[in-house]
Amino acid sequence: MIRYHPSLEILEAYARGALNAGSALVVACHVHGCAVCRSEAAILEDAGGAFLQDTTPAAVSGDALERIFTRIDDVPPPSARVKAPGFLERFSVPAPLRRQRVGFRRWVTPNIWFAPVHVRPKPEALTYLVYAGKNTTLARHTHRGQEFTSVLYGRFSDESGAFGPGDFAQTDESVEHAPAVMSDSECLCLISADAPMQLLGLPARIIQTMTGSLY
Amino acid sequence: MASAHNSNDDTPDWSGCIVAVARSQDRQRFGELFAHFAPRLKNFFMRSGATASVAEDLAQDTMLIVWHKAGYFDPARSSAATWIFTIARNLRIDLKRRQRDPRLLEEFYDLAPEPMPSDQVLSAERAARVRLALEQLPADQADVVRRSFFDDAPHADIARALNVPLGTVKSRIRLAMQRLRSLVEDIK
Ligand SMILES: [Zn+2]
Repeated sequence: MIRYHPSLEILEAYARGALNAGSALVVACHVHGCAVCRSEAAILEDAGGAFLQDTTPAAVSGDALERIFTRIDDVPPPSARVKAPGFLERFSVPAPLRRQRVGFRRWVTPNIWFAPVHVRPKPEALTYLVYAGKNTTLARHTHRGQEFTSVLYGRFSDESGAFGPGDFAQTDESVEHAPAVMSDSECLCLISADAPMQLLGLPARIIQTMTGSLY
Repeated sequence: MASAHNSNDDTPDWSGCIVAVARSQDRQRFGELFAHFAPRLKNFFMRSGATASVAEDLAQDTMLIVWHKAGYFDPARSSAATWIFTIARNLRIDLKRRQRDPRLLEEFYDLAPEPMPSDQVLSAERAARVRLALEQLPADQADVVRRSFFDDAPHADIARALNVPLGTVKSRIRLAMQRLRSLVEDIK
């Protein structure tokens, strides 16, 4: 049962294409699995359709239709489908993510890995998957700018609540947290962030330096 | 010869046109669809800032995608106008992104909307409800939704054009969406 959704404002920006490609992907992964937000987005799209019906027609040139018929015999090129890396197979990730190029995963501890998602065009936001095994706590950190998270698999919790499959979380500078994965479930999340997370505390910062972590 | 009009009323059956294109590459039904939607699409792109000639090209591109992707259209899930709108919107999004990364061209035909998991509410009915509900919205709310969602105007620009605070723009959108949702929920 999904408990956390993007705000109406985020959803409206997503539906009209105002989010950068990385943030839009994270929202798309939530919307794909969330009947509530799908219906919200569908209402906006219906509004778009109604506006389109009711908008003033602008005359098109007389041969516009003929010109389209000269183009329709062009066979569309097969779409460039990408294959998800093997390490994602067991998670059955949502369709919007399956079309993205996912880079190599990098273990940062024996229990945590990160993998970049090469969203195109290169978004202003960093987009990546983060996996944490059972009984893991991420280093305490805060954020510069906005960060969107969609839970793809399993659960995690932090000071603001317990997040499960399909849940959407939004954080910014005001949030300082150490997300933890509860006992019996591992967790996979898709995250887009304006800037790398800021690890707090000296040991964590040393790890970040050592791994050259971009995340 | 079938035409774009239902036998029982005068509402053109645009969904039937798309289905006919998918089934039998019906050029006449496509022509009817084109005559209705291409000029509206042209205006849509002009409202989002394209020049008349670019807007006409984009309207053509949208209709070309409609032709090739007609098989993905599911009349049970989406009204024709909504489906065509989402293709045009995706084209607009793609264009904005491509201006920053010209390598994206090859994905042109992927701009038809992804089939989403199916939902309870009958889409044609929902689309009709939304259209009606938009007419019932307070004019200032409907206007802001149109400027934001259809014209793709940044909220700050809308606030400036209407000479109201940014917060007012955001709250009008929120109120409009809540109202639309409650009107649509009545049909569940
Ligand atoms: Zn949701």
